Amino acid sequence: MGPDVSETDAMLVRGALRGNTQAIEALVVRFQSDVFGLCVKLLRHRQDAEDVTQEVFLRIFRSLQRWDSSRPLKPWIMGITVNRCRTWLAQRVRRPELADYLHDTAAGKADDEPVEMVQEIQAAVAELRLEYQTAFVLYHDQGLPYEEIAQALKKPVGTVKTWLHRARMEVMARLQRRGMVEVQHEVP
Amino acid sequence: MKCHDFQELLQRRLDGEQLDKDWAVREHAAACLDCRSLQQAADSMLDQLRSQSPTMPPLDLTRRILVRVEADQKNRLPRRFRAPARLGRLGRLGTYLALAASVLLAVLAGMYGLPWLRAPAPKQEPQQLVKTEPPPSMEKSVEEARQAVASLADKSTDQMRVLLSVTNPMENVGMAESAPPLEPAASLRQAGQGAAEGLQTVASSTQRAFAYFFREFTQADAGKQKDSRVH
Repeated sequence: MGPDVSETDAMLVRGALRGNTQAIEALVVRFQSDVFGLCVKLLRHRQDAEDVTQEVFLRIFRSLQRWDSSRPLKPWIMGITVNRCRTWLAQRVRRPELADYLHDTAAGKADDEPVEMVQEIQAAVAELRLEYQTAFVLYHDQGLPYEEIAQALKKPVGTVKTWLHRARMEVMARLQRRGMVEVQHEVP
Repeated sequence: MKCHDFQELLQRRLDGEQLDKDWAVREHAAACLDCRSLQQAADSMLDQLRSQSPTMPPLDLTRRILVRVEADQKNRLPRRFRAPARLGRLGRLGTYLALAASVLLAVLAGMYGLPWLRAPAPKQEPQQLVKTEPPPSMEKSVEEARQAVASLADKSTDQMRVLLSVTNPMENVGMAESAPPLEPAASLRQAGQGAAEGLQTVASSTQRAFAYFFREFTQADAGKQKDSRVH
């Protein structure tokens, strides 16, 4: 039986801190999908997501020695990603460029998926406040539990729960408004 | 069950909990159109989110990240040469000011020279370097100091004698008879006494010399006035 996730992460971090290129590469491969996926969801722009992902990894390796090895690594990395996305969005607001999230998202779509529903959910998430959006994506896309989201966002668990519940309610309300839900009038 | 309670249970179901009150949820949804609509929206959303395939990064992203990370690590200075991040902008400013002050000090030292930065003394001959004298003893140092004080007193006395011989040979003779040459004192205490006596002699001789000078000057001045009146 091999080492568990946190032990493997700690070993890779120790290697990266010693300058071991294989450990650095292993860390990049291990987390780049999560980082990129979160960037795509929050930025809704694939090219921006690629740029921000690179910046996130620069920051990760610059501050790797500040990671508390008694805690899981992924929430720490997700926290850095959220911060970078936040900064990027703030800068993008000042620029005239607009993100066309409906056509430029990189979410993989299988042929049999109802595209309209996907787009409605994406649009609904995009309309959320950034805190709600982040909690929603970290929970439903990244699969982080409440505790780890709280660590990543440096907020109490109760706050994260509140944000996520409100986010869900707003998304569901939009789906109802847009007629995406067929309500059965009579329950058998 | 009220709508608020229904929504709470719906959230718990979205969290993945298995509800033991599931029958109550179904019962409320059957009776409340809004809550039934909400439940269907939640089910659709959850199905969609579960079926979503993960977002795949471009194939060359790993390579691009590694290139940037490697370049960044090469470009960055070692940590000891950087200002601590916790100091913030003010701390970094202080570091840069200190660095600038160091450079300025080095330039000034180069222009004007500092005692500890001056060029070292020329090298001595190798024989002298090899030949090292033992450190002087305390007794020898005291004896040298005594002789130095005594010679200072002698020198002062001699200089006054020369001065007086130029100004008044008679006084010089008298003085030479009345004040015999000082003998080197046997100890430092005697040397001090000798120096005091020597200086006293110098002072009295100087006083006499000045009195003589003023007397001669006054007489010469009176003679000139007399001559001018005669003419």
